Amino acid sequence: MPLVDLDRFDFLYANRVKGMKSAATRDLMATLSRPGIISLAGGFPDTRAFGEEAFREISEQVAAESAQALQYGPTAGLEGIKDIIVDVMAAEGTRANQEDVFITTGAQQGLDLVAKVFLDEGDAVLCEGPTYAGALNAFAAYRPRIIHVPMDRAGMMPVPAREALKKARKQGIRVKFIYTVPNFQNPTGVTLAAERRRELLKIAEEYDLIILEDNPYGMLRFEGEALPTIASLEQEKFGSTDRVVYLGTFSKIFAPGVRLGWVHAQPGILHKINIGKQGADLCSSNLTQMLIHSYFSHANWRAYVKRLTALYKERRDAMLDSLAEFMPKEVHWTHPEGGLFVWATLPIYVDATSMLPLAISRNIAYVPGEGFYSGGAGKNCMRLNFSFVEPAKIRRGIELLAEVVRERMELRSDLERGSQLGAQHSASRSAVGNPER
Amino acid sequence: MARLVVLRGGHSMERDISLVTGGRVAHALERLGHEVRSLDVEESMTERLMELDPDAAFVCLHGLGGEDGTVQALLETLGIPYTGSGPLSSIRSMDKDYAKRAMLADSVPTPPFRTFLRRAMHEMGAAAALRPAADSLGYPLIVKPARQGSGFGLTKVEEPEGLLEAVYEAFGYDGKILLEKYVTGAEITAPILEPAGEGPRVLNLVEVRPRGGSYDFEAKYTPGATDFAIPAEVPTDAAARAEETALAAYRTLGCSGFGRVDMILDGDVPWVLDANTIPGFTETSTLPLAAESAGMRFEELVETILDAALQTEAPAKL
Repeated sequence: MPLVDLDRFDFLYANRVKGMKSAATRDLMATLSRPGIISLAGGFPDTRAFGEEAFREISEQVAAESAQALQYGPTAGLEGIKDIIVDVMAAEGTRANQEDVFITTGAQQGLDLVAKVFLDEGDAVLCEGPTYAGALNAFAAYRPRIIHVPMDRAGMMPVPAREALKKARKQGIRVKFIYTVPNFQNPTGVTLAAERRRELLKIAEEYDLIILEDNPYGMLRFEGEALPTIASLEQEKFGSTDRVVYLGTFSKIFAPGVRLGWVHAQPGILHKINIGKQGADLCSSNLTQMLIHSYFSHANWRAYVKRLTALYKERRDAMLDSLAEFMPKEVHWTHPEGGLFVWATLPIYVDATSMLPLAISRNIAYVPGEGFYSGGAGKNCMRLNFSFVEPAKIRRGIELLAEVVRERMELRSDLERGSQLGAQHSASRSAVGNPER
Repeated sequence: MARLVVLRGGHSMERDISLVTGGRVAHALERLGHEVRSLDVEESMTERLMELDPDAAFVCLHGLGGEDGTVQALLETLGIPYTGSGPLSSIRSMDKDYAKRAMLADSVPTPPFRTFLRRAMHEMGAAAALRPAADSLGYPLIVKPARQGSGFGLTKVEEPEGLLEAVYEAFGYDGKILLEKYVTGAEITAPILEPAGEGPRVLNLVEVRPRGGSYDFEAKYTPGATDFAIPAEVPTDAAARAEETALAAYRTLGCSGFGRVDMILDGDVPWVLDANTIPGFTETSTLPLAAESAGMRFEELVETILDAALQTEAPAKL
């Protein structure tokens, strides 16, 4: 009888997908669909806030132009929506050029296209450590090296960034771009300080690199002054857009379901991205572009963002308060001024990945930190999402999570105390019975 | 035609597998002409079962709650016939500590082991006995949670330095863990079927050959990640001994209806690692694959298991 072959095209798969594994944590995530679990693991905005009536209204407006909505569109996107994006970018603090706006299917496609355009196998990307896991996934298809630059509470640190670039140059590794999420970063919630944004731009000039500025959360600011985008700093300094490629999205200020984002970059780069997108999906959906156009030109979208921001702020406060109330003193966390996430750091010996099953069995879930690094760091960290869960549930969730952390810390100390004693006895086999019995 | 309930989903780590298993079984039962309702484990489940009052429940739950006697005891109380093993045999098989003790008592070969409980670690300083226990078993050894399937939380420990990490990991999945002597050899699994009015029989021995080297969760449920040889490519007398041993384990644990016994064939000793009272029915699961190779279609397999549950003159389940 021959072997039973369950995937008979195995020998035909490309090398780049052979190495792609579904992480054990992702398998665990599957259990999150079960009833009763409080999931702080998502990255979801709360689309329940939008409402059926508002949705019906904008749909009706689109229905009047159904022929165009159902048609293919230009690869770079419809003109009308680019005008909207110029407005949105102005609100985000960047003076955008309508011709420099290019529509993508979510900012996620922007990540893929930029990587496609710039990365050859073995090229390097400088990222924050930790960084957005979805960016690592998008880049992975082009098989780059990922160089993580450590962060502190003011974001990516310039000195190690410079050192990393120097080292790469010495080793003959070609770094192509710096990837950063400057505002309320995913996963840490940390914001890159204003002077560091300038410094990063300077570093990119020195090494002649692209900066990929990914800004999905910039408008979700709860407190403090908005900081200038790197794109705007470049314009201020040089009068035009050059090496900064800016990614924007409607996912967090409107809804992720429309899958619509954009790239703002200089024409040379956009030309290459255009070619990439033609191969990927020809164009983004006219239907959703028109939905957004209809909403943003007729409704008060700024008021909606304000409503979302107020909602998330209340939830962030609930999370920070309950972390302070319930977590053991050995646990630390970030204090984001906006966005969707808090990053918690456990004692170095507590592995958040191996703690997850216990947490899930207690009905609380989070994302373990190691997925936000390429290469295994961040094991004692976790990302906690506050945007999608009501305050009372956040509070209960953090209380449960703190119990789990305490248990894991306690087990660790039990094991360590005991094993020191055990080591003294391990020479004598008579200490335990004969297992063969 | 019977009115049936398929129980799937549940709260265990294997929820997703259970949903796949349950989906496939429900479709098969529908194709066989039965009236099928699928239920998940939730607060209203008992009430729903009482309302529906089905002729039988097909239990497709894996892991804690579904495979450990919990749902079996409930179904027994409700007077609803159900597929597979009874409460005692379920908990015995689910808990590798209980299973191995029962097998040792009946001279079924199972690798030497030591049991540790979280409570003993905390209240009795049991961690002091970890190193000596490991030393007496020898390295490499396996550390695993007692009541967890699909290879979750299992670590092979090569040397004393790795012991603590492995123990720490395993306790993340269960309050009871085992240190088990590592035995090498062909990985053999024996899917067993016990049709109504007949004794249990091994459908076909399956040899598991994970491509990545270890048969972990991913290898188990990713098509193509594991090769199976059906029947196992082992010498005839070793195969006969493995079948005998698998059936002995099945009987010792008091299983009913169907099950699966996992073994390592070390020379001519088939070491039993564990028994599953509700093995998966996914397209990469060994039970349906073995049935198919024995000339039994998926529907037939499902119908046979159902018939065993419906037979009224059978002795009570353990």
